[in-house]
Amino acid sequence: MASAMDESNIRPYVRSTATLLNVALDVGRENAVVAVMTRLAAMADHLLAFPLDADEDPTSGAPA
Amino acid sequence: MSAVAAVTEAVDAIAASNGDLKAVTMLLEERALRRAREIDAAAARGERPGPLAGVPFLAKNLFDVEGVVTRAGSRATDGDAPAAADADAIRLLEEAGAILVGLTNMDEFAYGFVTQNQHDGATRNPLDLACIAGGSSGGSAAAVAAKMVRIAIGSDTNGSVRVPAALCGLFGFRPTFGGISKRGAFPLAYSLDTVGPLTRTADDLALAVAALRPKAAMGQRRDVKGLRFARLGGYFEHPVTPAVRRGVERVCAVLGVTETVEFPEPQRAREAAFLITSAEAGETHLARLRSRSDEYGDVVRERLIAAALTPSAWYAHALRFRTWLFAHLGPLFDRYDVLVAPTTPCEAPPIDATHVTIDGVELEKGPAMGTFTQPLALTQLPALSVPVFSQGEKPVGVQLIARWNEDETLVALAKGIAL
Repeated sequence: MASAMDESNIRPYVRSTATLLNVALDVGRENAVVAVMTRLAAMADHLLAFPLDADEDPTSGAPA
Repeated sequence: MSAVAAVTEAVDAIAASNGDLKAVTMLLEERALRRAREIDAAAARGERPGPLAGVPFLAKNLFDVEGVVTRAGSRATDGDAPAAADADAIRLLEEAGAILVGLTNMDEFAYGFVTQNQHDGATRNPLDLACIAGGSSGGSAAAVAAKMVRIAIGSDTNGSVRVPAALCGLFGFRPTFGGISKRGAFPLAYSLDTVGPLTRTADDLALAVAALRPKAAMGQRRDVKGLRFARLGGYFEHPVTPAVRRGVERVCAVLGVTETVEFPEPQRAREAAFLITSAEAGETHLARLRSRSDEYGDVVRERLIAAALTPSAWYAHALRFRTWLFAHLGPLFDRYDVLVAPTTPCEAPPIDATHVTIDGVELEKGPAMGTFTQPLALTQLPALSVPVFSQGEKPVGVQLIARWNEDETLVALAKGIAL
């Protein structure tokens, strides 16, 4: 899993996962995707820092 | 007025202003006139064709229409098989007598807040043509604001009905998640997507919601006396423009809101909504991205490729956070029935702007529009954006948020708020 906002962590993740998923990435497109992923990674870092315990089970169903 | 005359009037109104607005991407005149003749014939026989009899409406072009390719604002859908049936939302409105007259512009695949579509052009705000109409249901909003029709429907994943409603001075309704059928609407993120109407008046809002929620329309809470209100503070107070701040204060004054409460972890709620949208949209588009990525618009293509690569741990944690949020919203609604918050942080920004500066904070224009709608989308609560007008200013929107399945409370409140 890619973590942290450092682009040097994100780029190899983008390359390897794109290959795994068979999504074509030329050089210019890779740069744009890395930029988006870096922003998502910043959000994920902040969200993942929020402590959750085992009761936070997403299969327990929505209130609606 | 006969249904045929109403359809003709709507078609003429679209022809008169759509060149500037780029709100409507497809006219369905022949279908609409056929339907109008049926309604007029039924009325002539003494039948009652429904509470919306002969009322023309428009639908965002991600809704299925029988015999039409569902474009979802993209060219990457060109060549897809035409829809076999109308989307449920279209069917329900037509069962109430309304008549679909066309389809509207949107952010490509509903992934945006601006309706500056690379293929169909930018939808302009009828109240200020230099400004955006908001998105992603921007064509629907502009069409209603320009009086092409009284009602249009859109989809709201993270704010895509409420944001354009706010920027165009309309009511924009996001139902309780699952409260209006989204069958036949092209998905963006399955666990966040909702379908809702945009209208100029509270009466039309009530008619549209009743048609779209036929099973819920009876027996739901409608008595607004004694409701307990609170305004959302903290995150929801900054950054906002002075006009937005005044709009929230005016709604609070009308409703008698004196208390302020904090929403639990709003920034993280927004982040979770972003990540869930990303993961689910990536899955939806993976096959198409593999085979037709060059047919996507540039911005949405890179966004969706990144979405397809979203690590599963991010998604799983976001889902678990949502469960935490559900548990912490319960106590909030033990104390209050309706919460109040701004819809967007600012009035409609210029089409050619890339950023907006609000309260001294510079923000990227598109994401900024979802600042206050996106955390609420994660909650699956019903939310209504109410328009607030002030002389000499562009309108702003104020959200009213109710408990799960108390959608009709919001519709009833709308009638008491004429700002």
